[in-house]
Amino acid sequence: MHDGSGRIAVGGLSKSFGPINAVTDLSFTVEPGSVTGFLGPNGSGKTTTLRMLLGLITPSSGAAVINGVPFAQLSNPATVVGAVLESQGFHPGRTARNHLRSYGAAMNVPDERADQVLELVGLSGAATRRTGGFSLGMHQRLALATALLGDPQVLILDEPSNGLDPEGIAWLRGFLRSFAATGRTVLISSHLLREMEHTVDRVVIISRGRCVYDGDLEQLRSAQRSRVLVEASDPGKLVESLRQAGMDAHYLQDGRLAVPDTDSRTVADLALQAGIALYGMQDERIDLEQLFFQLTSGQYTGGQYAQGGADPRWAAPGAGRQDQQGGNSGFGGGF
Amino acid sequence: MGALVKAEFRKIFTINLWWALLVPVVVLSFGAGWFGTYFGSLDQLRADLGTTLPVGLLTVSMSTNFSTLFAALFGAMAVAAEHRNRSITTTFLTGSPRGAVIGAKLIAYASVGLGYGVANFLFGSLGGLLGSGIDGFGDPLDWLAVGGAGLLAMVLWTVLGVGFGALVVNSVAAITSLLVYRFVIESILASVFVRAGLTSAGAYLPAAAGGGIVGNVAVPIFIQDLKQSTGRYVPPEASDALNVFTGGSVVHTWWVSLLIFTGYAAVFAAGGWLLSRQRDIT
Repeated sequence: MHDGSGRIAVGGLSKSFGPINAVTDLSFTVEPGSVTGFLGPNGSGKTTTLRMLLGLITPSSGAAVINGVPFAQLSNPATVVGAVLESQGFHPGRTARNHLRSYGAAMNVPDERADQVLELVGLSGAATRRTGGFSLGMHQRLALATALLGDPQVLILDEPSNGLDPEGIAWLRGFLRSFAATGRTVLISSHLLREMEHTVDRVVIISRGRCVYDGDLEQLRSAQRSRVLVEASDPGKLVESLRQAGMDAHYLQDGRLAVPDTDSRTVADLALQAGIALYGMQDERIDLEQLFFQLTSGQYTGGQYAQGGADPRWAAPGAGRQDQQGGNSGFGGGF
Repeated sequence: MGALVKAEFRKIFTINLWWALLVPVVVLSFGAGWFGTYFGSLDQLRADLGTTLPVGLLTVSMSTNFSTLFAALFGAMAVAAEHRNRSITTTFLTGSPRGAVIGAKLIAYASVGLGYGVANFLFGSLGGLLGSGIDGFGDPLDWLAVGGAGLLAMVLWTVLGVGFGALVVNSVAAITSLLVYRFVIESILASVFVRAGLTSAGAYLPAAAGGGIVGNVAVPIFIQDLKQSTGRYVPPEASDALNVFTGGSVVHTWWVSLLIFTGYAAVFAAGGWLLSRQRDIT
C-alpha cells in the first residue's frame, strides 16, 4: 500500500527509444502542498518522464514512485493521482457525461461525481454534447474533469494551457494554487517558464533529458543578473573609470555601453566623478524566460534560443554566449 | 474487477458501435433464415424429396458463420479503438493493473458477443419459421444444439477479436486483416493444402474450425434426418456440398472444431493480454 504522503520521487530515471536517449539519469522530488513546474523545451523528455511516472512507459532504468510506490502498485490509482496528458483522447461519439460516468465506474465513484467535476471545470452546459464537437480548450477542461473524478491527492498536468484561452489559463492558475493550498501535490509541465512564473513555487528544469535545475523559483529569480545600458559623451573614458572601479563594460552595436552586475545609480556617480556627460541610461534585468533559455540552450544546435527567442542585445558577443555555456554545465557556474 | 467490467459495459453502450454491428447480424440471420428456407435450393430439395427436412438448422448455421465475423470485428475494436482515439491512456490511468483492464474488456465484450449470438439465433429461427414453418427445425433438441453451438462460436470469435485487436492495436489494420484473412487468405491456404496433398489440413485453419463449431452440429443432424426420412443412401459429397454454405467440414466432429478454435481464441487473447501489459503508451 502507498504511504499517503502525496510525494513524488523520481530516481535515476532513464529511457531510450532505440538509439535516442529521451531521458538520462533524471532525479527529482515533488513535495505536497506546492505547485512544482516541470520545464524544458519541446522534445526535452518532459512527456516521457511524466508517462513513466504514470506507468504508461516502462523506464529503461531507474524508478519513479508516487506515495512511495510505483504507479502500477496503486490499487485504485485514479483516487491517488489524476493526470491530464497531452494528446489524451476521448471517443468522439461519447458525450462528456457518459465519458465521465464510464471512467467513474472504473474508479468506483458515484455517478453524481460526473456532474460535480463538469461543474468544477465549467462544462456543465456541454454535459450531453458529444466530445467530437468540442474545441481544444473544452477537451482540456474535460481531461481535467476526468483527472479530478477520483478526488486525487496528486495532480499531474502535461502542457495543460495548450488550447486554453487567456481566461482559461487564469482560471487554471487559480485552481491549481487552491488545490495545492489544501496540502495536495501539483506537478505541471510546460515549455514556457513565463507562463508558469505566477503559478509555481518550485521548478525542475530539464534539457536533453537531463536535469539542469531543481529548486525554488525564488532562488532562481534572485540569481537573475542585471546590467545598465549607458549612452555617454566619452565612452572610452567611462570604460576606463569603470575598470578602475572594478567593473566590466563592453560596447553594444548601437554604440552604447553595457555594464553588467550593477545599477544606474553607481554608474551615474562614477560618470559624474570622471566628468563624463550621460545622455541616457537604462536598467535591465534578465527575466526568468531568458534565464530559462540559457539553462536549456543547446537542446538543439547551440545558441538557437538566445538568438531567436531572447532580446538580441543579449545575444551579442560577450555575456550571452558565456552564460549559455555556463548554463549547460549546471546552474551555479554561469551566474 | 467488477468496477472495471462495469466501466467497459458503459463504454460499449454509450457509443453506436454495438448496435451498428448488431444490425447486420439481425438482418443477415433473419434474411438467411427466411430466404434460405423459402426460396433457396434447400426448398427445392425438399419439394423433390416430398418430405420435410430440418433446413432451418442449416440456415441458422449459415447465418451464425456470417455473424461471427461481426462479433470478431466488434471484439477487435475493444482495445484497438481505444488506441485509435488515445483514450487507452485514460483507461490505464483509471484502471490498474493493466491485465485486469484487458480481463474486464474480455468479459464485457464476450458478454455482448453472447448477446449477438442470441440475436442471431432468435432472428435466424424466426426467419426460418416464416420460410419453412415449424417443420423446418426438426427435433427441438436438435434446434437447441445448433443454437447453443452458435452461441459458443459467437463468444469465442469475440474473444479472438479482442485478443487480435490488442495485438495489432491499429484499428484499421485489425479490421482489414480480419476481413482479408476470412474472405481471401484462408481459402488460398486451404487450396494450397489440398494441392500439397494435405486434404484435411484446411480444417485446422481458424475460420474452418470456427465454422465447424456450429456447422458440424447442423450438417450431421440434417444428413441423418435425410437418411431416415428418405431411407436412401446419402453420399458423403452431400455433406461437403452443404458445408460450403453452412461452414465446417466433414474432417472433424463439432467438438474437435470447438477445441481447435478455442485454442486459437486462447492464443490471441493471451497474446493480446500479455502485450497490453507491457506496451509503452506514448
